[in-house]
Amino acid sequence: MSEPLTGPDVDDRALIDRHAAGDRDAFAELVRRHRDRLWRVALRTLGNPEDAADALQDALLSAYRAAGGFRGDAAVTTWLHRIVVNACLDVARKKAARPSVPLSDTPADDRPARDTIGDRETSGDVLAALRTLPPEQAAAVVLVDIEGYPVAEVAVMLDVPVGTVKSRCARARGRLAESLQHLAPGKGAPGSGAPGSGAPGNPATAPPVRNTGDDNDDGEEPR
Amino acid sequence: MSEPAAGHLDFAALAELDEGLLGGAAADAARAHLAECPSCRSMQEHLAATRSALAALPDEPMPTAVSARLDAALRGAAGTATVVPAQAAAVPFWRRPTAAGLAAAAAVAALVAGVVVGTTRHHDKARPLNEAAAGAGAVQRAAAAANFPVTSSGQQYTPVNAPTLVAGLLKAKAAPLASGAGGTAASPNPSPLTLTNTQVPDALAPLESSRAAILRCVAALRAGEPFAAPIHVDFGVFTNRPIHVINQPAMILLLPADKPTFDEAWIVGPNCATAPDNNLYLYQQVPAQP
Repeated sequence: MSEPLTGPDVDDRALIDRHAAGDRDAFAELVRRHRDRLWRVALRTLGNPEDAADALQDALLSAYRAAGGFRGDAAVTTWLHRIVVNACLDVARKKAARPSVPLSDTPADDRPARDTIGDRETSGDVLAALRTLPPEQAAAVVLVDIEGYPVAEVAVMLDVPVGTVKSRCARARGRLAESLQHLAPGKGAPGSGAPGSGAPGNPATAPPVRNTGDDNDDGEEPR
Repeated sequence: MSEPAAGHLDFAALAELDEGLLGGAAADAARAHLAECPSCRSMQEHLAATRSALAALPDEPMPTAVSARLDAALRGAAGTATVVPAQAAAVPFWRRPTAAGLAAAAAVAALVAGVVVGTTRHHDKARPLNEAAAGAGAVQRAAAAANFPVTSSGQQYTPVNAPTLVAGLLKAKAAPLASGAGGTAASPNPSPLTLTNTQVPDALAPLESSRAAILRCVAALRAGEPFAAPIHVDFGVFTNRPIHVINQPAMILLLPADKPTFDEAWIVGPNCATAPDNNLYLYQQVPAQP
């Protein structure tokens, strides 16, 4: 373990090998490399930072333990995403199964996910709409449309057929477009927040309700 | 799949069309309709704009508090070799682990255990709060200041309810009921909290009855680093169904962190996250108490 842990010549796979060989810094370095994108995926799939942190912790501890059995037939990042998304879906299911637990439903609204004035409303609305999707659909659309991974890779991450990824994405986009109709040009005032046409909910006043129920499309056939 | 009356398309159908999911005839009909329906075309444009808005969401780096928490959790994993029972660890995220893969994982776990357990780890964060307790006498010195409250609530802790329950412990602590605090040993089942809903498993008795044993556990969790006495210790059970951990005996440690803004909740099994079980069930940061 005398070689440096960082640098272009040490790839993710090598870090996994070092971790498996007992190098205690290797896994931390692997996490450091990828934590921001894993965080984005968890945060946007689950919709609030507390759940995202819980899921990431579960996921990384699982990955830490499982890394010794890592199979080289997937990229390390694909494998990490898969573990993180699984943990997110577990957290979402746990929450759905325990609706009475007063977890923090409040915080998601004032997250610092905002940049310029011009984008602020839009991205706030997009994030609020995202939180209303069933978790499986949210995960698909987060990975494909937000993170930009190829559908085939997302199919590996989600462990579903490519057609299922596509149909989850399509459903998610359809729902998102519907909840964001007030932003559409031609509906109310073009491009400027459009208060007129019954905007579907100000995220600050209407806490989003995560749809965890019936239209969970697990096991659906690709069409 | 669904085209509403008059041939108009809804967002679901438009999204399926865009993704190539509509069958040949339906797709042809949809395209023909789009060619002559400005309202459906504008919906299609809105759908595309929605995708662009998704792609344009601002970047969001991991907050420092979260990365600190994950670092600490991974340090805990390194210090205790494995984090949940091996049978649970083997299952969750590999679809079908091969025998060779399992053997390799076991070999790695054994190797990591051999290499890591009991060694002193260094990390880059100073621990100013705890410096006074450094060194070999840490256990004794912490013990000298050890009036920390110990309760046996018997509560079922889960990853979901842990923050709430820990906060509840602290609230209860603020009330004048610290029957066990200050004594040299907590009685086996004092239940000073009234929220008891299960019996505290017998396996926890050695820890329940000895603050010194609890402090040895904290010392092991801190893996040689300086540490301070717990803020609160509770005994109960831990359940995490997705990884098949059900009502396992659990000691809940609320420990001061090296940052003023949060404390740390650790949930461990009777042998305190050491071999043979290595049960560190949970590590979470909780907001610091005023």
